[in-house]
Amino acid sequence: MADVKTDEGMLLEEELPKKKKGGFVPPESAFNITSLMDALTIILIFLLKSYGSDPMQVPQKKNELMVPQSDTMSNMVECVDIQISRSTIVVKGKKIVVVTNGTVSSSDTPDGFTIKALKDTLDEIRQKEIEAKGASAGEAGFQGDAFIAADTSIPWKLVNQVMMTCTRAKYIRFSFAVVKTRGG
Amino acid sequence: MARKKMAVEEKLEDINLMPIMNLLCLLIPFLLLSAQFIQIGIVLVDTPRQSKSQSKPDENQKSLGLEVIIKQDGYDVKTKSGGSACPQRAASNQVCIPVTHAGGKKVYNAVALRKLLYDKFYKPHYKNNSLDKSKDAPKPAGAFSDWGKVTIVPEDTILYETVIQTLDAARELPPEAKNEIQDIKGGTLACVFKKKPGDKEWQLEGNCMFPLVAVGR
Repeated sequence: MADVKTDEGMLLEEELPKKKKGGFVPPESAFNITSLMDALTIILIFLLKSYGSDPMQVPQKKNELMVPQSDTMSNMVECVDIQISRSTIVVKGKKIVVVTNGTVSSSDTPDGFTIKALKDTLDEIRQKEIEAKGASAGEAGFQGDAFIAADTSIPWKLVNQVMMTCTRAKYIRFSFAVVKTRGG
Repeated sequence: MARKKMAVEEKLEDINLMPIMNLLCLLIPFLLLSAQFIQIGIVLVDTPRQSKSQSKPDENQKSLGLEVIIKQDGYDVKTKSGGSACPQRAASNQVCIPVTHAGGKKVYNAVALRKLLYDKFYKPHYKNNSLDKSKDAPKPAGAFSDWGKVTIVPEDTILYETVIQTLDAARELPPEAKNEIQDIKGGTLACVFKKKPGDKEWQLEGNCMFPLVAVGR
């Protein structure tokens, strides 16, 4: 019977590597990772940029700390940060007071307004800040800015208590953390 | 000659990218975990105690004394000089802008509040008033000594989210201002606070309605 080869069969035969003695040798294929490297480099640059843009971080945690949305276009500056979540008040990453159902216990607020533990911590931070700026600057160099990040469901009474405590610790200007709804 | 050239080409090898790949594969998960994909901004507020201690107003100038009270049943707006902004509703013991209910939740109408502040207080007076703080600038007749200031008084049980909405409503101009106000700077209605590192004071930029907000009693 005559061996009939189609055009396709002939082409296939041409492309396949020729068999050598001693078995099949696969074609040499270099794994090209250049495009992967490009993609990874772009991701890395984007992440590095978003990592270093804000002076402070506000962790958004569901059922714990979700800051409200706002139309604001103002950006934050570095200052003492106070986080009021559903369970705690945190100053510069350190847990200070326990919050239960949007309130602090009466033992934490002897006069009904000032949160004692918070005031002590803020006094300490203020003292350190003044010392760091040097004797020449002294109290005049102290800016007294406080950054408050509170959960959306926190009642105003607690935020007001925190603000009053800050005022008594000589932090008199406040900026509330919000999620921007428009760019800028 | 040709043989020599071929020998050189054979020596060239690809750069070993594996160490860089390893480094990238470690860095990317770390950065992904710590990255923040939402933009955090700030809303600046003051306390009424501090605003009182600021420079004494000129005795010849009148003050507006604008106040927004956030009550359980809605927004109430009044001025120290003229009383309630909605006298008819106040006469029947009702708030200016009542809350609505949607999906079992109370909704404060911040859009209506912005419009009321704009129509009743900003639009009739903005020509005679300026947020420019320079003391030497001549102040026209009808200028308020506390222009740009508003005191927001929330009740204790009001949610923090509602207070932020109210601050937004007082600070930003409504969309119709773009056509109605002649001296809109830059063509946008954004009101921005900026502060350079080391500066003590915040600078106001853009177009604002009542940006100097004091919260509390």
